[in-house]
Amino acid sequence: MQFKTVILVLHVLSGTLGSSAALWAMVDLKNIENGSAKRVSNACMAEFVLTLLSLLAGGLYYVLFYQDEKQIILNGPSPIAHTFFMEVKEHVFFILLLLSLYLFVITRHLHAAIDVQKIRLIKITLMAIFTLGFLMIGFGEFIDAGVKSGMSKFNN
Amino acid sequence: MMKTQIEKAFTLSLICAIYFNTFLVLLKELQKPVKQFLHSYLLHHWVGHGIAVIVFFLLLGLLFRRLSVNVNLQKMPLHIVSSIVISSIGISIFYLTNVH
Repeated sequence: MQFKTVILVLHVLSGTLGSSAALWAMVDLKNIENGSAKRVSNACMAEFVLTLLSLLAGGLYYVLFYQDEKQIILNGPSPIAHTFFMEVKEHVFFILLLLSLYLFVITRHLHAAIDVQKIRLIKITLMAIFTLGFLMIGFGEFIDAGVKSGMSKFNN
Repeated sequence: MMKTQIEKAFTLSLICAIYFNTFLVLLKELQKPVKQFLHSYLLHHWVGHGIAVIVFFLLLGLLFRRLSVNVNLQKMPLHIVSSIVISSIGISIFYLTNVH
C-alpha cells in the first residue's frame, strides 16, 4: 500500500473514531453520578487525540499530495468539489479542533459532583463535535467523488 | 472556584477563537499578502492558519483566566452553538460566492 493511501485512511479512520468517541462520552455523561466521570474524561481525551491525529494525517496529505488531485478536480466536471467542499472542509475543521481542545481542557479533572451548567457545556460541545465530525466525513465523500469524476473524464 | 474560572476563561476564548478563524479565512482570501505571509513561514498557508487559531485560543484563554473574567456560564452553550453556526455558514457562503 502506498504511503499516501495509508495517511488518507488514517485521516478518515481517526476522524470517524473521534466522532464515535464523542458519542460514547455523550452516552456516559447521562450516568455521571453513577461513577462514569472517569470514563467521560477518558472518552473526551480519546476524542481529542483522535481529532488531532486526523488533523495531522489530513494536513500531511493536503500539503504533500493534494495539489495533483486539486488539478484533476478543477479540470474535471465537478470543480465545486474543491472550490466549495474542500475549502469549507479545511477551514471548518479548525472549529472542530478548537472544540476538541476546549473539551480536553474542561474535562481533565471530572468528578461525580459536577454541576448542571458544566454538564450542559460538555453536552453541547460533544453534540457539536459529533455533528461537525460527520459533516467532515460527508464533505470528504464529495471531494472523493470530484476526484473520481475528474479521473473518468481524463480516461475517456 | 478555580476550576470554574478555567471554564469561564476558556469558554469565552473558544467563542472568540471560532470567530477569529472565520475572520482569518476572509482576511487571507481577500488580502493576498496575508496569505503569502502565512505561507512564507510554513509549508502551506493552511498550516500557518491552524497554528494562529490554536495559539490565539490558548493565549486568550490564559489571559482571560489571569484577568478573572466573569461570564454567565448558563448562557454560554447558546453562544457556543451560535458561534459555530454563524462561522460555518459564513465560511460556506464566502466560498459559494467567491469561486476562484
